[in-house]
Amino acid sequence: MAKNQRVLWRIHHWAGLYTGILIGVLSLTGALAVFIPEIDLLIQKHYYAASSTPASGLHFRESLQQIREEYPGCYALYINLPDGPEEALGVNFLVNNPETGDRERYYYFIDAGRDRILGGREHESSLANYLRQMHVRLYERTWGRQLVGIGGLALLTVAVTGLLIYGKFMKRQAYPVLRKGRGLRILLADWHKILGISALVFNLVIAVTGAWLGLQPRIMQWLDMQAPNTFQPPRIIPSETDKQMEIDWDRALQVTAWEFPDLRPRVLRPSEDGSGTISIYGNVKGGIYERYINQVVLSKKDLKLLYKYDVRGKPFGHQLYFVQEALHFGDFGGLALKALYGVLGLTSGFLSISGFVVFLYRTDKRKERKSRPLKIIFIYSAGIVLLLAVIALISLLAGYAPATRIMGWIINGGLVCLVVFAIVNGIRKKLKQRQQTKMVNVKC
Amino acid sequence: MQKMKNFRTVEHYLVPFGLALLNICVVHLIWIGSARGLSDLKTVSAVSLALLLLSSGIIFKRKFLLLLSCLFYLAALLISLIRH
Repeated sequence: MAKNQRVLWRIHHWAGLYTGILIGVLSLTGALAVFIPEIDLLIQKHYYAASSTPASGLHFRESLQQIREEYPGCYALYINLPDGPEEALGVNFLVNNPETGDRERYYYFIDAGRDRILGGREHESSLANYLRQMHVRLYERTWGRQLVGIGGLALLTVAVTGLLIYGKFMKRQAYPVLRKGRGLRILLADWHKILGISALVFNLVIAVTGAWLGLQPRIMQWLDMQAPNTFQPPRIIPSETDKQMEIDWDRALQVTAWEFPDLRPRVLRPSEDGSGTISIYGNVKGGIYERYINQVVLSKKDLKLLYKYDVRGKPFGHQLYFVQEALHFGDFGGLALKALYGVLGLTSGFLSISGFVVFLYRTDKRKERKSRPLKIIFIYSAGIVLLLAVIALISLLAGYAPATRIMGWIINGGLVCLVVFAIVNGIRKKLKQRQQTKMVNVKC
Repeated sequence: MQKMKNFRTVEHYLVPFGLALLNICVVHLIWIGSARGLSDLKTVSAVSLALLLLSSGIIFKRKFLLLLSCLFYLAALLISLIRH
């Protein structure tokens, strides 16, 4: 193999070997995370029996008042409008736990036809939050998001190097021929190449957007970048007065439809900081942007338009910033696209497993292993799935905080052990080499 | 020798390029279908044709069919980007 090709192969091999588990976990959790809104909707409908009675218009004033009375210290409140006619309306807010001082987010379901509270849940203990946080930060609070970003960079590295060495490894093998009857190693090596090249662009998009989304806070901090659309209306009244202001929601939505006809409102946020405003966030059909990024800000007092953000008319930098999340989660083409993303998202997991199997078979004779390669793969895979399931159960039953604590110990402890093992192994190899050199010199 | 060169050109360059464009084409078609449905018949037809040509080129491994389908889809994509 030419020198360049050997270097590329080494990079592909080492990046894949050391980050394969991370890529595999992100692949599995990502394939599920694509369907978070749909999964949550099913849970709302069937577990919480939350739905809206058909009626003209949306009615939630009394329910909102009830919530404010039950949680007088609630803040950062926003209202999620239903997507479909029979879906429940959601009210999302934060409260400070008086005993622990921790911030807790609650989500209440409202029958928007009869203006009735149907139930509620602590958002952080929900399955939807678990699926998102596991994928976005591996349930590790300190630097989990950056670790996921590094996973994105690793996927980018293996994808690019894999493309560059594809021809050399295919040689005279045509796409998509599988060489049968030559053992599992050859079969999996062929599947690895075929799936890798077939889903290459998809994996590149996932890698680049994933790396950006994971590392974004740090990158923006280092480069002193500002997020687009950081409109802050001036404070004009006391905060308490602002919170008590009555809002004509029907009229607000009418004004929104007039000012921004293409906007499908999805989130309503009344101000609490003294600015006396209502922010209405939503989507424009056919846009490839993250959810709820288009915005209209109205004055609470006279519903006058104060600000409008239509990402379609904004500079390229804004559009590039807001396209990342939608491109990463396939949230721009309906259920059919999500299904495609779900299937293609699993390819990177398969590639990490097949690559590992090929590595184990290749080094089987050199290393004295107690177990066969397939057994090792099964133990790793089953172990990881079990861990994900256990963390999910802890999060759903005991809460978000204990689950993140445990995951933090596992990830950080695991990384420390890996580093220590690598250092000790390296020292042992060096000592062994020195001893062998000494023995050869003595014989001579 | 010529046969080997042709094989390498098709298998190691054109087929991967075609697959890359096929990835984009499938997503493009699904997106148009969900965003605009049949109201943008021209774009839907062009992208569907590109999908057919790309798939055929990859299956039958015809050098000129692959080249043509790749160029056709790139043109359709560029026009679509300019228009929207």
